[in-house]
Amino acid sequence: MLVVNHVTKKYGNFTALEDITLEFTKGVYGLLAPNGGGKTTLIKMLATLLFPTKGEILWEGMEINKLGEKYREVIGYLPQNFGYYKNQSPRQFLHYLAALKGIDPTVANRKVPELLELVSLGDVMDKKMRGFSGGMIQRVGIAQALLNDPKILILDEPTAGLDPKERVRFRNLISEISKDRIVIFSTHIVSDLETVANHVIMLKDHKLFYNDTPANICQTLSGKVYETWDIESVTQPYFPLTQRQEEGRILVRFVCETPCPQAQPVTPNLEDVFLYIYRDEAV
Amino acid sequence: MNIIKPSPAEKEKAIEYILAQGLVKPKSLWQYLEELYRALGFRYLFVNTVQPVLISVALMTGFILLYPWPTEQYKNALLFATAPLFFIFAVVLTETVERSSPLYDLKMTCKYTIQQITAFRVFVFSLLGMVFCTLLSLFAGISEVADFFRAFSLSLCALFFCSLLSIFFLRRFPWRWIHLLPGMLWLVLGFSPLWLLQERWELFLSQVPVALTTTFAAIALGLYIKELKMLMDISRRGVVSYVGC
Repeated sequence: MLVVNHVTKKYGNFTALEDITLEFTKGVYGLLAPNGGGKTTLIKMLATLLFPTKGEILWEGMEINKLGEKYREVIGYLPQNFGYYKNQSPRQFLHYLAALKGIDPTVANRKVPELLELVSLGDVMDKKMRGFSGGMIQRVGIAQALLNDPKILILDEPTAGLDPKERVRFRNLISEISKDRIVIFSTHIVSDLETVANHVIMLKDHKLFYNDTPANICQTLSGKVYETWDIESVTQPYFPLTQRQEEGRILVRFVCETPCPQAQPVTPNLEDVFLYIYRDEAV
Repeated sequence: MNIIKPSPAEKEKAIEYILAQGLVKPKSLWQYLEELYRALGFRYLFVNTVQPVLISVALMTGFILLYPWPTEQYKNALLFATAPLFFIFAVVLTETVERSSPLYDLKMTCKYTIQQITAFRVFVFSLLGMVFCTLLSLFAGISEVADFFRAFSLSLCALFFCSLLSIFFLRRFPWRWIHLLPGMLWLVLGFSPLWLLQERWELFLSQVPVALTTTFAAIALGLYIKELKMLMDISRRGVVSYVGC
């Protein structure tokens, strides 16, 4: 079990994260916050790239920074801006990282093609990555993160820059590899979480806001989300979420804290919660 | 009195932890180096094949420029100043590439971190630097055995002092371009006495007892090895400094 215990991270006078307490067991955890909300700071602390100003992060009851290479052996990490060597092929690149991860060359020889097949790059494993699309590079990134068969897979904004088809492929891949391990991925794209995450962690004002299942988080807005074709008729104060044009009319979806008989109540989704919670922040 | 007793699983875990702490001996520098050599070999010391080629070209160019020895009268002074140049060039080149690499963060989360790889790489370069010093001393055209040993120990003195400077700065200071400083410092320290004092500097170096130069080389080597070990042991400060926070 991975435990984040009352962690605070400060950069000078700026508090990036304040008193965060979390527990991770097997499953997919989606970390949701607007840009600049502290997602990458938390991810980097879990990856031992940053250290908490206060508090501790424990793996199997031991402080991760004290565990050193023993902890690094159980993590797989995909950074937000995943760098690669353009003149290398995915196979060469993965062999290089396998060496840095201390993986035996005979194991690496077997594992590298296997992983490249898993991320559907088997047919281009010997081609230089120079001409690869963003999605292909991201898949190389996921393959490298899985090289050491990590117990904790940490992915920082893995779907950023992917087209819808690539995103669906990514979600399927995450579902496939999430058995028997902790997968933590940060995003500000809500639809990525709804389909794959068992738990959603939401940060607001650099503090932990929600840590629950997507269904339970959606329940917090139960009975408060409405849709109407005639928003002018709504007299109570409301917060608009989305609007959709159909046959020349506009369907408005909104949150109203008080009962709103003029509109149709609908089942809230995670995007509604996200838009409502972060209404004052630039998303 | 209410005492919360640990569960058998908690007890087991605590015992395992105590045993693990008690039985694991910290790795020595040689164990680290051997492990890194087994895992990475010389192949992964460089990012690509261009790096060793560039270093080899620089080495050959250096030899072509230094042989035949241009100034017969400044043999010791020139040897002292130029001995660490291969080492400096190799460290500056590989560190610049490493530090501007887009893989920096990712590599820091691998089993072998950039610090450890840097330490291993610097160690290999200092070994190659010793070969370079030997060749320089052999090709310097020194006929007397005592003079050869003086020249050789002087070149080792310069090499190990430069290696010590490099590791010292790399370990202690978090700045991105810190790896350039030891090289620049050496250009001042190594060449300015030759430029300012000229014959007096050569005369001084040619009269220094071999025992003294050997002792200095040994002290510099000892301190360098100690710094190398400290760079290998990842410290909290070390990792932070490398991420640039």
